[in-house]
Amino acid sequence: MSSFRGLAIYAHPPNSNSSPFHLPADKIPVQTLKKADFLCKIDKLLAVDPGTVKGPEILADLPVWDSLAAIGFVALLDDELGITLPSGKMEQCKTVADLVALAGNQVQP
Amino acid sequence: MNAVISAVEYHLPQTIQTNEELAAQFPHWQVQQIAEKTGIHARHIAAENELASDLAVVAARKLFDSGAAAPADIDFILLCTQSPDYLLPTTACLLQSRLGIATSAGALDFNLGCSGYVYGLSLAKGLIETGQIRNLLLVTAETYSKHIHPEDRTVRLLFGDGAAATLIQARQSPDVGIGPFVFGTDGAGAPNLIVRKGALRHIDSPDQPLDLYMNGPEIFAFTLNTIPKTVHRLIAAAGKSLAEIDLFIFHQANAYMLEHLRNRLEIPAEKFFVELSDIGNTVSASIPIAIKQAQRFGRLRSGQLAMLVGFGVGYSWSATLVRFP
Repeated sequence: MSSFRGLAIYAHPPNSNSSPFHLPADKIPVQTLKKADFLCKIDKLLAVDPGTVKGPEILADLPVWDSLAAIGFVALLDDELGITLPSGKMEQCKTVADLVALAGNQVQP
Repeated sequence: MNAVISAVEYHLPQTIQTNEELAAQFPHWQVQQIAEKTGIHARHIAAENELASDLAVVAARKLFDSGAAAPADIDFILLCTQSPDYLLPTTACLLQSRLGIATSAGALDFNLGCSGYVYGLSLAKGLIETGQIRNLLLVTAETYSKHIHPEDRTVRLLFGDGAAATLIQARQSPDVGIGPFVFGTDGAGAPNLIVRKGALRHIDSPDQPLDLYMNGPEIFAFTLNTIPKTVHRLIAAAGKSLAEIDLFIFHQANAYMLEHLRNRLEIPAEKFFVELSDIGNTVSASIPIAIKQAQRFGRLRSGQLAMLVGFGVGYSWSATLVRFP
């Protein structure tokens, strides 16, 4: 389970036929991704070549990072990992690594 | 005695602004790519001197012209808008005079955005089912274009102007009606969708950014956090299952957000109404416009049960079930 559970990030089973509202929290299956795969998904979101983003990049310096990309990232977390961000979390992200950190231990080395 | 939605009409301003026009103004912007995501290709924009009240008058006159009711029948006007003519007087009072509704009618404005239609239905139900009135005109009218900075291309792409008029009447028809309702409010989200100009908080702060500001990622996250739970709260309150709903009509925010919500709730596409390609997000008018379109396209028929869900600025949200006569 995401290390952010304590911060009330809400997890639901992505692409599952079961409604999360009918499952106790400890029964919700958790989706995980390898960090390299997750970074590739961010590459795809930003429409750049796979392997482009590594982590230290500053979001404000990326010409392709805008509010629509940020919305796409919120959707990516929701679709791929079942993580719905609580208010204010996106605002705190300054780098790609900060985005990855939002996934907690659902993104693994 | 039940409160029943008897008729819905809407009006959009004449001027249509296409994505091609926006692309010409912002040549380095990938308008088409964004349009494919949002599902919005054009929107109607009110003329310089055309206000929400003007759109409201035309929508209400269409409703009267349809024969659903006459101005003399109306004993209460509810107007939902965030672009009123004045801070005071109340725009609903101006509507009473312009529409020739009796001076014995009540009238009030309420200030809500995308959740406003569902809140209006709740107020209407309360007034009718407590026996205070019999025929209520609910008008949701908005001209967000007047709040948007001309250089704010993303927000310009999303929002359109429009007004809807809904007739809600007392009927002895236990098989049709409105409700139950669930509500929600989180004022901590206020800074994420806000117009600072025009009221008193920043009256002496000319350096403040005063036009409409929208934090899209935060609004999107709020919606994903809130709306699926709200839908299930309503289903539980009604003692029904999602499968019993004939058509889901959510606030027509944008196609990208709606598709995510539909997927999260596992609602079949044929039961989920999305139609905003040439209209855009018309705020509190979006749900009644969608109702009218769904009826026109044969997607919503007499006796069917629809779920209406409004959500947005505030944050404010609400959901209800409506069985149409």
